[in-house]
Amino acid sequence: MVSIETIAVIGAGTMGSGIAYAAALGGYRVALYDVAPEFIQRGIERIHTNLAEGVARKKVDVQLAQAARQRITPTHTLGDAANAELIVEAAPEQLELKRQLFGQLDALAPAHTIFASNTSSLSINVLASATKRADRFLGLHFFNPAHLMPLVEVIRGEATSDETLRVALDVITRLGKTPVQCKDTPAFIVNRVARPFYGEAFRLLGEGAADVATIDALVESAGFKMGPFRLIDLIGCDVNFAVTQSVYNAFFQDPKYRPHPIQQQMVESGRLGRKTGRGFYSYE
Amino acid sequence: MNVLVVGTPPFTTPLAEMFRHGGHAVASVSTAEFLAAQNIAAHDIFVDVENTSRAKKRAVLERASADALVLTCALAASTTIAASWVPHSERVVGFGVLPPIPAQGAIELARGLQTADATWERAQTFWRALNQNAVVVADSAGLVRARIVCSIINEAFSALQEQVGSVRDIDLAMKLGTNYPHGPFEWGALIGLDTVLSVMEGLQNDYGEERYRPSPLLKRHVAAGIAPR
Repeated sequence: MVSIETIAVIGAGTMGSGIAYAAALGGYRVALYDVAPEFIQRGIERIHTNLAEGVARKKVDVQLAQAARQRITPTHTLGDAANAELIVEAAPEQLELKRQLFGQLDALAPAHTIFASNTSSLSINVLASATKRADRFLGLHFFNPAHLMPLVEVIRGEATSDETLRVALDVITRLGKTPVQCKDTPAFIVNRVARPFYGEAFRLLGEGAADVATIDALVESAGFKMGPFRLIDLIGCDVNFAVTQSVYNAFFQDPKYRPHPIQQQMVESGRLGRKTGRGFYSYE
Repeated sequence: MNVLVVGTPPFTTPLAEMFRHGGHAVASVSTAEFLAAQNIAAHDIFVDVENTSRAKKRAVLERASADALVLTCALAASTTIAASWVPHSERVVGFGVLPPIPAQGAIELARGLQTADATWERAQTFWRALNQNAVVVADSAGLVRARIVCSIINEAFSALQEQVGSVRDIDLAMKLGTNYPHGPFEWGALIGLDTVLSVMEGLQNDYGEERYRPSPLLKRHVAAGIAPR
């Protein structure tokens, strides 16, 4: 069984830096890769800010945070990143880009290196087909914000070996996170099972069953932390609409996943939620 | 007032307690007991919380007493459809609750097309006097909360059928990945899977849409009376 000492994270965006944060705090050496030095710099800054916040909130020990900072090595050379025993790809969610990256990494990395994708919507089997190591390939779907969210969906492809799965489960546990095992199917578990939370809320709103605030309050009264519209404003109406469309199309337009016209209206009128100051609620 | 509650324990137990706490004299019976009974004790308010099947709900409502206020839990059928099964439809008001039902919380209230003004007033007064937060919503099968939550549970069954994940992992994923208060299968057990299925059937019946088709695996578990593992 391959022993993981270094984890390379490909992509220093929000997800990538969150994963690098968790990996470094989990005691792994981390190679944080992105194409341009300024992207990496921004990612490193985000990690430092999050570590400082963790310390301030007494969630992270000062010394552990300091050690974590030192364990992260930035790089914009793919060859450096390829030397890790585990590579977690967190590049933009574009199939061709990811396939190309994995193809390059496959040529550079030693045979024992395990490849993982943090994709939320692409097929692990399809991504693995860009490499000659489908047995050492799997999905590790972290949730945003990845430095805080405890769940990781571990997606097993058709060819993923038992050992690869074991190693991945062990790493996720060492990061202090909870893995759930998931088959390579569209939207995996969470993004799929959560669809009706939004879909039925939109339908109820569209029918005028109740207004936004009433639906949110009722849903929150059932124990949810946030009602659907408050949550969509936080996520971004555009992001929520994109996920809805992606799941709908991945299931070949199964009507149960159909987006609602309100979603498109919100996006096209620029009412994206908190980030634009206005969504279902006003934040101005 | 004398209140008669008919249905299944996830609903009858907390509601009977709530009504007693509010000072009412409460009789709570199962659907089977109610349908078999020769003499029903006199009551002012008839509360139907039978939602395990539309057929049973209809049987209960057809026997609702002639002069009581009828409060129907509009999960397996909308208020209007449920009221159409009651001999005196104008005395019916719909409400929505979802197990686990708290001692104090939000009660969804829905008016049927047939509901008389006086009946509507009386129902609102009844719930508010119990210190419940009565929230008026439009009438449809499942109303707001049960429609959303039962649709999630139904989708979880469809993912389980496709072996996307185990019962344990799907429950865990929804609690940790998106902060749900209960995993969908845990929640299904709290509500009763037969009721979850009936909500989906009620929605499918109302809308005639594919999106509400019940998961075949959910149907099988209800037929077998066995919880998913």
